[in-house]
This record gives sequence, C-alpha cells and structure tokens, in this order.
Amino acid sequence: MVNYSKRLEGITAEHVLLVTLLGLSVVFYVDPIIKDYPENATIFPQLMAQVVGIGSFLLLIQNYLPGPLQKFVAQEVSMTESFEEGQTEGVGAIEDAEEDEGSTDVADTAVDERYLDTDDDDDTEGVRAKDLPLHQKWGIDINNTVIMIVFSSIYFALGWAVGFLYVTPLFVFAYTTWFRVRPLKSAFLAVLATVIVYGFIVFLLMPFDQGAIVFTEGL
Amino acid sequence: MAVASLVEGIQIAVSWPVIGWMAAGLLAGIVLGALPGIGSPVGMAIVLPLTVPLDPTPALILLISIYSGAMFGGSISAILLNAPGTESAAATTLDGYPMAKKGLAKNALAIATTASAFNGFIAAILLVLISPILIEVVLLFGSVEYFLLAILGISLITIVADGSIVKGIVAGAFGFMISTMGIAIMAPTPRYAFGQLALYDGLNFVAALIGMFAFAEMMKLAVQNQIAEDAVGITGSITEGIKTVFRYPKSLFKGGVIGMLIGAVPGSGATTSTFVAYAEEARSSAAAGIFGEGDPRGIIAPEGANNPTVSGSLVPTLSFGIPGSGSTAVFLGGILMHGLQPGPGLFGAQLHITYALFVSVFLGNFIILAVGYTVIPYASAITKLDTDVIIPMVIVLSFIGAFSLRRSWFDAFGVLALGILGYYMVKYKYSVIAFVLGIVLGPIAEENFFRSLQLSGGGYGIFVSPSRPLSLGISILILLALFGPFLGPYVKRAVNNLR
Repeated sequence: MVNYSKRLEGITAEHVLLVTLLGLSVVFYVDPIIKDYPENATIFPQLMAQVVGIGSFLLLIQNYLPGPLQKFVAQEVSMTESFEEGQTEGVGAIEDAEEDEGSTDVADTAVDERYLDTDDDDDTEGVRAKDLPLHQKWGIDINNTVIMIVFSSIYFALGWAVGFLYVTPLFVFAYTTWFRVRPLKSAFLAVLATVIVYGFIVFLLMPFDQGAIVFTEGL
Repeated sequence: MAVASLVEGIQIAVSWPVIGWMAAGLLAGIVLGALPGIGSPVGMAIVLPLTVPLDPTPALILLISIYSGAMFGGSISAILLNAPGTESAAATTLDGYPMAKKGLAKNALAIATTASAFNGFIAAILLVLISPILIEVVLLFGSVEYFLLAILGISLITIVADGSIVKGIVAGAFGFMISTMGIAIMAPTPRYAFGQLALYDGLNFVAALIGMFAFAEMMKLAVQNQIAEDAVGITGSITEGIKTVFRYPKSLFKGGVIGMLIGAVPGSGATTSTFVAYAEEARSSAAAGIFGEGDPRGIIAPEGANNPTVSGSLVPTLSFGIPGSGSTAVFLGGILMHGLQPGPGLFGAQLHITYALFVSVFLGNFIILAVGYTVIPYASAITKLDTDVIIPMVIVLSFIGAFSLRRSWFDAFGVLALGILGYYMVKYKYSVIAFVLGIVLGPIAEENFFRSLQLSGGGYGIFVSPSRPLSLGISILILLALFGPFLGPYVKRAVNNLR
C-alpha cells in the first residue's frame, strides 16, 4: 500500500517552486492560443515557456531519469570545479535542502544567539543582550522570515488602501518593536522613514499621501 | 573638430557646478551601491526626475557618476556582507566575501578600489582614443548577434553560478518569459494581462531587481544572526591590497579589456562582463588558484571589469540608443528627457557633451580612489548595523522605490512576490542573476529574435548559418558553455581510448 503521508512529507519548497514554474509555463504557452495572439507576439514567449516547462519537468522527475540524462539535469557544474569532482544533486540535493531548511528551522525556533546575554559584546555601553522578539517571548515557534513577510504584506496592503505616508511610521515602529529594538531608536527610524516617504511626495510628486480606500484625496 | 570638442568637453567637465554634480553623483552612487539591493538603476531612476531643472550636461554627468560610483560601492557590501549592492558586484562576492572571512577584508576592499579605479582611468582614456573603432565593431553586430549575445550571457552565468546548468537555463528562460508580460514589442497586443489594466505595462525590471535582490536579501537576513553569514572583522592591510592588484597585471588587464568590450556590446552590461571576467580568470588560472575561497584574482577580474563596462556601455548607448544594462537604460531615459537624441548628433554637433561625459568618467575615478581608501577603515559600520533596523527601512525603500518607477502598484507588488520567489531560488540554487538578466534583456532579446526570424523568413538556421560567421561563432560558444562541461570528460575519455 502506498504510504501517502510519507510521500507528502517528502515534498519540499523546491517541488512547489518547480510545480509553480511548470504551471506558469503552461499558462504562458496556452494563453496565446486561447486568446489568439498575433503570431509575432506569440513565438518568443511560447519558446521560452517550452524551455521553462521542459526544464522544470526534468528537474521534477530527475530521480527517475536514466543515468546520463539524470547526470546532465542534476549535475552541478562550476567553472571552478572539475566535472568529475562535482557533486550530483538529485535526492541528495533535496535532502541537503531539507537539512538546510531543518537547520534553519532549528536556528529560528531556538533562541537566537543575538538575543542571549554575552560577555564579549563589543557594545561600549556595556553588556546588554537584546530581548527576545515578541513571538519567541510568547512561546510561539514561527520563523522570523514568516514574521517579516507577514509584516511586509500587511504594510503593502495598508499602504495601498490608506497611503504609505500614514502606514510607514506604524510599520517601522511595529516591526522594530516586535524585534525589541530600543523604543527611542524605533521612534527615530519611524520618523526617518516618514521623512523619506514625504520627500518622495514633495520632490517626486508621488501620491503616497493617498490611499485607494481611505484618504483618497490625499493631503 | 574633435580636438576642439574635446577641449570644450574638458572645460565643461571641470567647471563649477558640473564638477560638483559629478562628486555628488559619485558619493551618492557609492552609498547606494553599498546598500544591498539598492544599486545604480534604482538610484538613477529616483534621481532622474530631479534632474529636470538642470542643464543636459550636468544632469547626464550626475547620472553617469551615480552609475560609476555604484559600480564601486556595490563591492563594499559584496565583500563585507556577501550581498552584492549592485547586480554587477555579484561576481565579487564569490571571492571577496571568503577573503573577508579570512580576516583580509581591508585587502579585499583595497583590491576592489584599486582595480576598479585603475581600469576606470585606462578605460576612460581608451574611450576617447578608440571610440570611433569601437563603434565600427559594434556596427558588425546585427539583430541575430544581439539575440545570441543575450543567450550567451545567460549561458555563461549558468556555468559560473552554483547549481545545475538546467536550473540556470530554467531561471534565465523564466526571466525571459516573465519579461513578455504587457504590450508586445512587435505588435500592439497586450499579453498575459488577464484583463488587468495594471498588467498592460508588464513588470518593470528595476522592480524585479529590487524584489530579487533587496527584498529576498531581507528575508535571508531575517533568519540570520548577523548581516553576514559569519562575523567579518575589518582587518587586513590596505597597502598590501593595493600591492596585490599590481602583482597580477595580467588579471587586471584582462578584466579591463573584457569589461570594456562587453560593455560596448548592447544588451551585455556589467553583470555579464564581471561574470565573464571572473569566469575567464577562473578558467585560465584555475590550476594555480583557490577560486571561491578568497583568491585575490577573483576580485581583481570582476572589479577591474566593472568600471570599464561603464565606459564601454556609453558607446552603444550614446551612438545607437541601445542601452547595455538597466543603469544605461535609465541613462538613456535621461538623454531623451533632456531633449538630446542618441546617434550621430552626440558624435557630431553635440560631441562636446559626449566628451564632457567621458572626461567626467575619468575624473570620477580620483574620487573613487579617495573615498575608497578613506572609507575602508569605517566600512565596518555597515556590518555593525542591526538587521532589525535595516530590514524595515529597506522594505520601505523597496516598496516606494518600485512604485515610483511607473506609479504602478503592480511593480510594488512584484517586489513582494519576486522577493519570495528569489529567496527560494537562492535556497535551491537557481541562478537569480540568470533570471534577472532574462527579465532585463527580455524585450531586447525578443525584438532581435523576431527581427532575425524576419530576415530568415522564419527559419532558425540563421543563428548557425555559415554565411554569418559572427553569429555562428557565438552559437558555438553558447553550445560549448552549456554542454562543454558535460561532454568534456566523455570527449577526453574517447581521445584517451583512441591513444
């Protein structure tokens, strides 16, 4: 009986990336046919879609390819390494990547070194370790990158809806506070970022004081 | 006429406030270049609208100085942070960062400064002396060759970067594919817009650069304890670094020649030239080198190529209106915005402006040297910045910078989406450089690809036709680059068996 849960566990972010590329290549190949693009607007994107599609597919099934083809698909080649000394990827590469990911997770879920007390801190003001970021303080195991993406996505969405001028100080202050930067420094950065955004409004006439939903008329 | 124009150009370049704009542009460029992910295209794009009140000559000198300064500035973060400030500095990370990790950061920075400025001087002089000849060479390239050069650039990157060749090809082709979004070049047809007006203009390549380098880099920094993978102490010797450069005159010379020649070829900017210079150096000196582990030649070659690329790229940009890179594309926008027309005009009636630009590029290298040597001891300030302080500021600059390019929310969203994509591409060794080069060169490549097919009546044989030896030669180089490393051992084995 096929162990599906085990197979699902073997799916990495690289598989997702390759499936995404494959899917996009299909879209880029099929869309000109469905929407009847003129021929001179079709050839190049379809050609590139074929390259992306075939390449992604080969990379996806590399472990099942015959020897020489698998070597060509998976072989890492570098100008600085001889071919024979190169390392094959394939399963190993995916495993390595998983290990990397695992190690990253471990590094992220564990308490980062930078948040520990150290006696050899080169800070001339003395030995003061940074506090834990809020999610770690609350005992939530979330990757710092995920936190960053969530903050950025909210910032972008609110910037679009309300206007970057009003959202920027809140974003900078919230992000730096979350990662326990000193409040005074956080406030300074928030003001600095706001001044930069304001500079774009004044000098480049960018509508960062306008939102798509709120403050639509701007200042 | 040429001599009179040259004298007039020198007078303009050294006059006030023109020389002040040059200095300001260089300093801004160095700082922007040193900030990972910011770089010259974004800096130039931000400054471009601000140059409207200026006369054409100081405005163009300001822009080209930002470009030149960023070329050098990019190496600072490449060496200290393992994060290229500009795409062209990516090759410098390969040996610059390992060298810094060995406790030779000052040496590495001094090598970068000296190689960049020294070859910058030589290239600027050569530009004045041989620009008519270079123009003739560039004229030999037609649409077929331009298309093939774009492919060659990506092919070479795939064998320089980590990861399999297929991953590199997929990354480059994906960049080309994404670049076709928006109004088609050869027909007024919106492609892949999916009914969204914002997608009619496609994705701006500068936004892609910001996403792939700046945002993705911030994602990486978020999980790191420090900016660099390991602490990089600013130790070593500036003097020793300077001496090291002149211990390898061949590497310096080759880097300069490659930089200038590739810079002069439209569509092949500093990213290609620095990687080709690095690859050539690694190829020719591999036996005696420790490339990838802090070999000084791995810094001399790309850094020796980057500033000459600026000089070289001015030739096709000014003479044909064909930008060689993202930065020169922005520069071309500046030329047009200020009412100048690239082509015979800038090499005829307005030759003095062209020479003023060349002279400014030459003089700018003095500032690079001065700043490079004096800033080095303080460059550690960059690495001491808290990541949690840098990240939100870069995110703010990334979003507002991307939006400002075309007032497009799609571009700003592209930063977020491509940033996430770039993070995973780096993680799984898909060449981000090949992807970005695909996006940047996509429109040029497609246009030339289509023109080539028009010339041949739709046949692909034109790319390998013996009647076009130049394109045939480039095609062979592409095949060698892609399949050489794979087939080489088989060929060797076959030859040995025959013996």
